[in-house]
Amino acid sequence: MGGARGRRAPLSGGAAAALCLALLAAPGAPRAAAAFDLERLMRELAAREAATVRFEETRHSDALREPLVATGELRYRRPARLERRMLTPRAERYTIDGGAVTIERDGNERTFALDGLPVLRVFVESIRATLAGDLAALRRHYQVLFAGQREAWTIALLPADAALAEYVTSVRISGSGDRIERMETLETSGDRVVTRFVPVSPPAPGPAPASATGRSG
Amino acid sequence: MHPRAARVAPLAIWLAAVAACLWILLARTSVTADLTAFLPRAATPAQELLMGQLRDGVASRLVLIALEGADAPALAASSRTLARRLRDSGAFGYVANGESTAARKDRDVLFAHRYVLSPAVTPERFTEQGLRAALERTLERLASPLGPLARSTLAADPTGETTAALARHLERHPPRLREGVWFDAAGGRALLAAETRTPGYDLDAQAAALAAIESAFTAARAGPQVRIVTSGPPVFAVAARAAIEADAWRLAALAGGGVALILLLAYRRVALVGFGVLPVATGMLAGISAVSLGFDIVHGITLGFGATLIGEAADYSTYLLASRARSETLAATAQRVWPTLRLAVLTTVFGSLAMLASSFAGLAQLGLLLFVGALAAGLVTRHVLPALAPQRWAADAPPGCLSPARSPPPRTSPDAQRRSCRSRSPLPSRSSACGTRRSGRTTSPP
Repeated sequence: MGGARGRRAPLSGGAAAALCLALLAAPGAPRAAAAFDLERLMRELAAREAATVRFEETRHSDALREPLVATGELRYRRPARLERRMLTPRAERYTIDGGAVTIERDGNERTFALDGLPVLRVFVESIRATLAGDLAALRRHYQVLFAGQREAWTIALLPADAALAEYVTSVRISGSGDRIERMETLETSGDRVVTRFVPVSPPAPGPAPASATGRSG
Repeated sequence: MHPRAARVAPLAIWLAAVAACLWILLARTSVTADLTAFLPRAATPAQELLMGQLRDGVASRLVLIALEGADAPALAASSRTLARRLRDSGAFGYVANGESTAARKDRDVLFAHRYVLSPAVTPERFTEQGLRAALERTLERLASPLGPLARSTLAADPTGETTAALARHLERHPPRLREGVWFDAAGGRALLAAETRTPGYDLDAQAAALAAIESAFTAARAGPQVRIVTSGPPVFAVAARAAIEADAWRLAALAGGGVALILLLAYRRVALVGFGVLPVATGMLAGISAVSLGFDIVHGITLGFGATLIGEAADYSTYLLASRARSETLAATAQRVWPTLRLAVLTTVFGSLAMLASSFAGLAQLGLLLFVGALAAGLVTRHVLPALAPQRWAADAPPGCLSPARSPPPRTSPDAQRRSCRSRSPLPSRSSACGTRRSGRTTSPP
């Protein structure tokens, strides 16, 4: 990852699009498997009621001496609830439900309207809409590109609205089947944020005990 | 003095003074409706701030606008167009309707003033320990969903004051967004807020700003079914003034008509009624001019109260005209009643001195207006009215029922003067005025 930390100029939209297309083409997946396309992927994602994954997020930035790593758990519940529980470097929980966001930290809980913090939409509109299989929502904010097949797919998102484009150059989400495995966000600052997702104990019907204790604490 | 010169000199002086006053009035008098002139002078910085805010604060300039009567998309479209038109008009310093372009502008303001607005800024914040804590907090923000924002301001704001200020700002719960613009909780009204550039006390400018909103709305609305509702201090102020003005005009017309009717009944001559108005009109003119010279601006309230107080000077001409006996020239009457009249003028003039010394700008103005106005009205009654009176009046019967004038009064005897005063005072106000002066004199031993 060392190479990625080299000083980079923020990518222009056009350059980013070209880059994404190149990346998408890279796996060499022939479009032959026409049976599996973006709509199909979204339908499969939409079929899941809930998803819980562990995440490990690494920010590569020329402002940091070493990459910044955050770990925690990401929980999604249909239709619009997304919970990001960070464990390291510090316990902190963001719960986004519909248009409200609750930030819990040091035992304090504060709820805001999502509208007031447009920057959060970078996070929400990419990962939540993908987990929800909500293609319409994705397309409201991004130009959506797709490549791959069921076993290995990639969605590239290029921001289509100014509020997102202020922060993000591109987002690339890849996965397998109805599982999201990796997300890479290229920010306008030049930072690259790579998140890996690992599923937690298969089908979790209710809140996991670990998170239940975390919630009460 | 030559009788002709005695007639011409006061007239010439009077006309010159009136011309000078008119010039002052037209060339350099500016009137303000700022009510705070009648509040005490601010003693502490906090009071000064309060006075400033009352006079010209954001709260006094904020117009709240709601659009209603159509579905959300139509209202949102109307809101966007209206906001754009209002911003382009230049009459408003700030127009907010929840659009993200405006939100970015707000954030730029927060960013520019982050060290002032952040609740986290304390002296300890910039100690080694404080800085370490702040930087660690910033690092945590970089790891959070706020990361992109924290990163974009990292170089200029390493301690994260923008985010701290933003968090406090957000806790005030802005209105809900629908279709990208502010709506009320029920979702039936699109909301906007517009801050006028003109000061809150300048009601003419505020009225113009409200008219600009109306016309911008007419051009901006998505359909005829969209309605606008405005509220806020400028709206209240303009509406209150309109109501007060309407009342004032109605009452002034009633009162003026009543006074004119009584005088007409008393004098039975229209010309005399007009004649009687000259002293008080001159007094008002002189008073306003003096205030205009003595202070930078004239307060509207000074004019209002001033006109009421100086109304007393309307009586001066009535004393004069009512005291005139058959075949007496007005000049003779003026000379005869002058001691009484002078007393009335001087009590008013000295009474106004107390106000003149007030530390309230508004009261001081009132005092000056009354001082100069009463003096001018008295002098005009004494010197100008007799000079103006047509000579033939001397031959006429004294006007109206005020002067039964059973016998021509002797001009020298004060005793006869008092008698005549008593005998020809059928009007209550006149008789009481005479009565007080008479009793004042009769208490002295004969």
